[in-house]
Amino acid sequence: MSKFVPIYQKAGILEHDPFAVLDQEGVGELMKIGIEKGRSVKPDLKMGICGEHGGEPKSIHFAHEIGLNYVSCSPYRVPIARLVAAQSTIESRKAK
Amino acid sequence: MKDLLGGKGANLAEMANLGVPVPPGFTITTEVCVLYLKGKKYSEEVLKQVDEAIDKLEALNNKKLGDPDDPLLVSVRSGARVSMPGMMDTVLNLGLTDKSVLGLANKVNDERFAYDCYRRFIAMFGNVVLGIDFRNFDSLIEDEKKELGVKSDTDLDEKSLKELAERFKEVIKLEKGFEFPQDPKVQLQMAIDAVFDSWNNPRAITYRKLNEIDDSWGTAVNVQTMVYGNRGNTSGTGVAFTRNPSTGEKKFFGEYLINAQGEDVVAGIRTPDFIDTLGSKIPEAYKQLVYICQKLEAHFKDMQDIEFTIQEGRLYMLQTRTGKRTAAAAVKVATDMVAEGLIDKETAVTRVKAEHIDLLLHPRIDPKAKLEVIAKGLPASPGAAVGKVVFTAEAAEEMAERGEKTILVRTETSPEDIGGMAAAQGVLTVRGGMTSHAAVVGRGMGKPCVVGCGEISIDMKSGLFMVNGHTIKEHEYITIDGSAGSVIIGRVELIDAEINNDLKRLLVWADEIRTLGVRTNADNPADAALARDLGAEGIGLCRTEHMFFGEDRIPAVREMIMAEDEKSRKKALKKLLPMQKEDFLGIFRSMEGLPVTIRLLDPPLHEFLPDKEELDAKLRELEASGDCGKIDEVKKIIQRVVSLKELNPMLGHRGCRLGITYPEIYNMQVRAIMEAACELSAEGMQIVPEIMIPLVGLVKELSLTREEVCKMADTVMAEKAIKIDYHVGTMIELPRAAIIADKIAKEADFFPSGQTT
Repeated sequence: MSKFVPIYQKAGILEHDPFAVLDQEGVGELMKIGIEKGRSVKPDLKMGICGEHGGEPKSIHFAHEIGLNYVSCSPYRVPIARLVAAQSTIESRKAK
Repeated sequence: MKDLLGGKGANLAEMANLGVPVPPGFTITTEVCVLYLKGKKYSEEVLKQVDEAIDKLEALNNKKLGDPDDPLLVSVRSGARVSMPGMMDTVLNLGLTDKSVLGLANKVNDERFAYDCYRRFIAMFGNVVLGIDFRNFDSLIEDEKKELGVKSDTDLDEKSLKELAERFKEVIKLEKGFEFPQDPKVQLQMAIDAVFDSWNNPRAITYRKLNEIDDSWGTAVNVQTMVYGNRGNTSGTGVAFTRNPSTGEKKFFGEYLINAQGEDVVAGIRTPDFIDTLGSKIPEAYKQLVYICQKLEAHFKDMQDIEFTIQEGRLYMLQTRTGKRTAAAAVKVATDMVAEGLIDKETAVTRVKAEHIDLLLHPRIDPKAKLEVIAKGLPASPGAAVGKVVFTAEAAEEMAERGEKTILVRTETSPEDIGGMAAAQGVLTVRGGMTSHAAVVGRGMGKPCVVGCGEISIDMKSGLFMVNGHTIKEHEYITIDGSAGSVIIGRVELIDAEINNDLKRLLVWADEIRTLGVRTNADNPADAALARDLGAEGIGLCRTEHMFFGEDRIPAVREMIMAEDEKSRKKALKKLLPMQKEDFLGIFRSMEGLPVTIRLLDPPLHEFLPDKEELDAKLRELEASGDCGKIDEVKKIIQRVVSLKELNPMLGHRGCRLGITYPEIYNMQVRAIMEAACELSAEGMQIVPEIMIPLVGLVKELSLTREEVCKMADTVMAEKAIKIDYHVGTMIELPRAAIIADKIAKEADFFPSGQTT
């Protein structure tokens, strides 16, 4: 674990460890830019997220919301991702 | 409704509407709490409404607060939007005063009972409302018992209890400088303030943090007519679940105590009886209880956790809420309820949390392991845990900070222990039942937990516990099995859990609903096969560098890095080719028919060389022994390490930058990928390779590398005389890449995003 993250969390500078939970405000915005620009040229461009964020529930919700095609995570997180992806679909259906 | 009335208040109102017997009462909303916490005062309107509610309550019960003949007594309890068991404050028997206690004694014709209530109330008021340490009161009880030579509180007669009430009032005067209030309305106002204030007590704050509950919600306050479970042998109190909260089995589950107050069950001080036996003791009330529980579950369409009191044969429901459950129970209850037609598949999928699945995939005790079981308790929260014995919550937290695993061993746990319980791997208690604090909190947190292990005696002073002839000292290892209730000496081997049929079914429903694909990160055939079993729909990231670190490969990798020209580099790469191909053959086989994204070599080369200090030490050693032959070789490596050194290697010479500098590396990798894919394809398998070019920041980096990749792929396909569908893409990992993603997209078939940035 990083040396300063726990201190940042205690001081309220960071809510979550950005190495565990995707930083939606910053990195997430870059992802949105990437998706939008990428699909403006190739509407069917396949896009996903890999790395441990792919198995973290909040990040999976975000991946669903911004329209990624898939998440990729370590094997034992796969069942979690399947469940959370379904919950994201249900949630966004309800929000409509 | 829950947002405003809190979970408890909303459900009480709903129960009353369903015609379930509930003691009359009213709820002050969370809105009032939020306003109160801001300014520490109430609006005129709120005060007026509370007064009116009390008038109504008095009329309903045909009793008056503080009445010297037949007083109305109430409980004042917290109740937030979501249940936070034991975290905030409760005051019982409110309304008793020097005068009204006589009324109660007359009315129930039991002086001892009345004074027992009175002294409990004064102590609770002193502790909860006025913040006086409860030990100030407890020590007086202990003194009295010692003086009389009796063991239990129930052995104290009315004279002693009366005396204690007097002394408790003196404690309050001494500690606070004012008298214990004799006006019930003043008592009530102070109690309401205290419950609101308890939203911000340290243990509630910790609980909210652990459970990600919003600090701004506030709690509601429920003021309810008191009912008594301690009015003799046709009275009692208990806690029950409509299904087993540990296994999920559809069987009425719970515990009760005859002739006791509600808090006695939850506090775990007396070990209660199983609910099944209540039928033979108070049959009518039991029958009604079972009926009401079925009705509540059918109404709320979820497993309920209820609290009840029987006062002289008459049943009252004090609370119903969604029952906290283990991961296994969550899955079983959800799938069972679909089978029963109570909920649909979509609802079932939302009933199980991500953490539940995480827990179900957690290790358990290897059934083949030899175990030395030293004690048995109740299996309160399933799963196995291994750790060093600690006896205090603080110790568990301290050890956790140092990264050490602990088992928290306590006589019983209380809400103050919550931080330590979160920090420990598992919890073991001497006292308490399946609904004790440790059990409820353990299940909620998913901590393995064994409770009510009465054979254990803890000696805090010597820092040890004894059980069945064994002495276990602090910091010695034990293992607990929360599914079997056993305590085992030493560290037991744990094995990975498997997915049971209920979970399989639930995940299939999830697959039917979801639109987002799920792939896995895997760089060997075993992980790929495991992930496929767990439902992965391909590989999203296969890191090729992990293959380079293998013991049999690292010499060839180093040879490649040390190579002084292209020719010798190619020679070294040739050695790596069959090994890489073997890896891809295995991975492709495991993922037959599914896409496999393979990232070409990404890390900076220095990562594959030994570090400089290590090399320097070796050089010194060789110089000392005079082994000249090897000295030059080590010196050379040191030179290479120094030349590869970069100020910021993570943004340095890596990814496609390496691929462009040394095209033969990527060529070898692409050859290995395509040879493997073509060979398997020739066997009739469907292989979908996706080749990923890492660390692209410039469009030309991608177009150039892509051209090379395609050239090699076409060469291999021509050699093998087979055509397969392959894709070339990149990873958007640099901010620059995200910003020029439209230009990059023209050169790419796919885009995964990484979080290196």
